[in-house]
Amino acid sequence: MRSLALLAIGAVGLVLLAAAAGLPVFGDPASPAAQHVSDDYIRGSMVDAHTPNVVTTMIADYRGFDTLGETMVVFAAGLACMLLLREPKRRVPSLGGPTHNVITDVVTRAMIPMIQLFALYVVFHGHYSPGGGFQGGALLAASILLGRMVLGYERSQYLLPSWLGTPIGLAGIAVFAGVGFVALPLGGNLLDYGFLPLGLPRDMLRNWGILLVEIGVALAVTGTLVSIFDDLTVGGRR
Amino acid sequence: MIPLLFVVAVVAAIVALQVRDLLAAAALLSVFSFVVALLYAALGAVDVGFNEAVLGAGVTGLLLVVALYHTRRRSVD
Repeated sequence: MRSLALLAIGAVGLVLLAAAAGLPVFGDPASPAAQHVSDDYIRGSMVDAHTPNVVTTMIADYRGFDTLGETMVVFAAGLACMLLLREPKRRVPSLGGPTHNVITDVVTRAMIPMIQLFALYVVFHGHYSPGGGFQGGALLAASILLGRMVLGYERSQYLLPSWLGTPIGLAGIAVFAGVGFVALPLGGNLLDYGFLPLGLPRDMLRNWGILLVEIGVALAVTGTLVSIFDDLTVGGRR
Repeated sequence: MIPLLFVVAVVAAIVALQVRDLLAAAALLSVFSFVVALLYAALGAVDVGFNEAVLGAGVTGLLLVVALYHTRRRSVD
């Protein structure tokens, strides 16, 4: 049975390697993937949304509907964990427990604000450098989870109280969807940030729309990841 | 540089499958994710690499450790 499995793995590997030979050359402008809309996106990012980082324009503006769906999927995963795992009466000893170590405590307390500052930079500088809502939100969540792991459940509540995780995730989706729906009564399409009532030129409006949407994504990711972690460790105990 | 990263990623993945201590396996999966993140960055997909480094190497490793906390640390198969 084991040799049969190895044989199957080898055969599939060979097929994949053979298929990889037929892929277009790395960075080939004539490859099928670069033939349709990519050109418009790369040329349009600066003109349409005043954003040098094309990936950010792509994720938050051109394909904002896709990202809205993705954010909702992340939140739905958090809700599923909540429904399956949240038992407010269960008492599992929290990670970290009573055995506190001064060195890890101090190092963690020093690192958490730095990680959070970097996370904010990643969210707000997403137009110009790699990063954006997802990465910044995940970094924010990571800083809080670091506190949960090292400082323990009770002593890390000041970072983000457990009961706030799911509401923050929901608020993030509300921000994203709210910014998207503003255009509808004003005559635009869903998620067309050019209709935001801020009194700016259209490309700057889309620039601001991207920032607002990224903040929504960051909130949704932070809240959901922290709520999943709390559901896993202490059953969402408050 | 890129072939070296591929080799490290494959070695980390195989060792993660073979090792008996599941905590070590979780750490090795974090190593794998981090190497893959470096690969993404080396191939020019910096945003994807960023995501992989934060979520794959950081948060997923943490969730695996938490899952281990609910079960035993040694693999039985």
